Amino acid sequence: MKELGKYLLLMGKLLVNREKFSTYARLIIDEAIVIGTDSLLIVAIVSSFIGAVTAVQTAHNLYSPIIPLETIGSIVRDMTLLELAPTFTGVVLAGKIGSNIAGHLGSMRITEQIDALEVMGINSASYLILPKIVASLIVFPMLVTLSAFLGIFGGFVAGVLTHSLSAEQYIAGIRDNFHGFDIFFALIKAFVFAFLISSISAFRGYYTRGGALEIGKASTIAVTHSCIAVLIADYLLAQLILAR
Amino acid sequence: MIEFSHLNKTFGDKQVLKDVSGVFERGKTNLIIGTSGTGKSVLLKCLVGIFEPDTGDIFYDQRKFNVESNDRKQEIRRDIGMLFQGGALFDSKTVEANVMFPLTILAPQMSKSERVDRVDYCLKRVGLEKAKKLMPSEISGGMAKRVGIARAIVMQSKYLFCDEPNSGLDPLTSHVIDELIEDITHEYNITTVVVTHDMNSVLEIGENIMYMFEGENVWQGTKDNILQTTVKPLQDFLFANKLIRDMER
Repeated sequence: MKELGKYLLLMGKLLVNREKFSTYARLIIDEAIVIGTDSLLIVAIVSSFIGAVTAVQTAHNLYSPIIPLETIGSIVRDMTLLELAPTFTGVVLAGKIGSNIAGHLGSMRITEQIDALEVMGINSASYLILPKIVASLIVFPMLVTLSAFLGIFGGFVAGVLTHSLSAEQYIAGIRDNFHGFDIFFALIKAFVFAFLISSISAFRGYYTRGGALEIGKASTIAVTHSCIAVLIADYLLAQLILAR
Repeated sequence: MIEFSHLNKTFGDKQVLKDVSGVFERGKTNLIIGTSGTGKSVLLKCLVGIFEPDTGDIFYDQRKFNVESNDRKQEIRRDIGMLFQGGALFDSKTVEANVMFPLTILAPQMSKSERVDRVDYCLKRVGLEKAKKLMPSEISGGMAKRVGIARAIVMQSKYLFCDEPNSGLDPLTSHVIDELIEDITHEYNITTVVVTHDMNSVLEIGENIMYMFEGENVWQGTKDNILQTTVKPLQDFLFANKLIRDMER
């Protein structure tokens, strides 16, 4: 509870005594570029393969004369949009971006760079953390959108190459009974996960004490806590928004 | 001038500062000395607001620093420059960008050419005009300290704090840093506070010296009368530094 209180106080500190907006604009763009370019390849690889595996395994399990093959496309689409794209991207980014944020802030803390900002009269929490959170909120939905596209495309390639179904059947499947809300739901998840991963990792890094060993520990804890938070939020969002 | 009275600071069960009071005068190099773990750095960090004292008052030229209002505190902080023990340079920025950083954030009214001129002046003042394009990882410890000083004075600060500016430096470089601190203090007529346990610095630049022992201010004087002290912990400190070895203790 003490840690939760400290986390909430830090979040409150981001919004008081801020610098001018123009100061943040440049930082947000820089952070967004770093988060986006650093994560693009890993998200693309993971999403394509997850989509491909989903298509192949669904085809294997649904091989029945009474179930139309188009169903494989529908299942890959729904699984990718509702669960795989946002959650896998979230977990992958918790590892990649979360450890990066915690490590960066942790090393700034132990080398007194954060103290230097404070002594200059700059709100270090706001200056360092707010741009990372805002950049994550901008970039994560883009990465989740890309992940969903590549996941469905990966399913298409794997399904057609293994002759599980034809290209026309797969496309008919992904168009059949499509709900636009599923995309909206994936983007809601992306926003929530972006906030959780960036803020939890920043919290762990910002309050690092000690030396190099503690930076490593802070990064590990940041990734672990971010992943747990993503999975809990994943369940809560599904329960709140999708449950009937 | 910086005045502070009845400062107390406790970490867990350990009381690090015990009712510490004192005055640091303008235009002088004020030194806080003492053995390791006596609370020198904690006192410095309380004075600049990195730590919040449990009790006591701090005044910067009659302006109360430890107040609830963050705006007031930030206003005073913008008059403070600080040299950290390890330099605390931003490792993703060049030397020039490090020195320019406070101006970029805190002096948006200055034009870019004015900022560049100011940075060039400060880097020249610390003798590093040729190193401005280097990254912090490419410069020596002594150079990093000088960049830290340039960054601390770039805003024309009224108060300069230095946390162990000589640590990790060879005697010659230490002497250069001491001279630079003393020159800047007199040239700009600012209030400088230096935490050190380097006795060479004490005897070279100590115009007002505070000796701390076990969290208390036990002696205050100058480099001219420190060797005549009768305070036992300070005598032990000077003896350990071989300064009164031949004198009768």
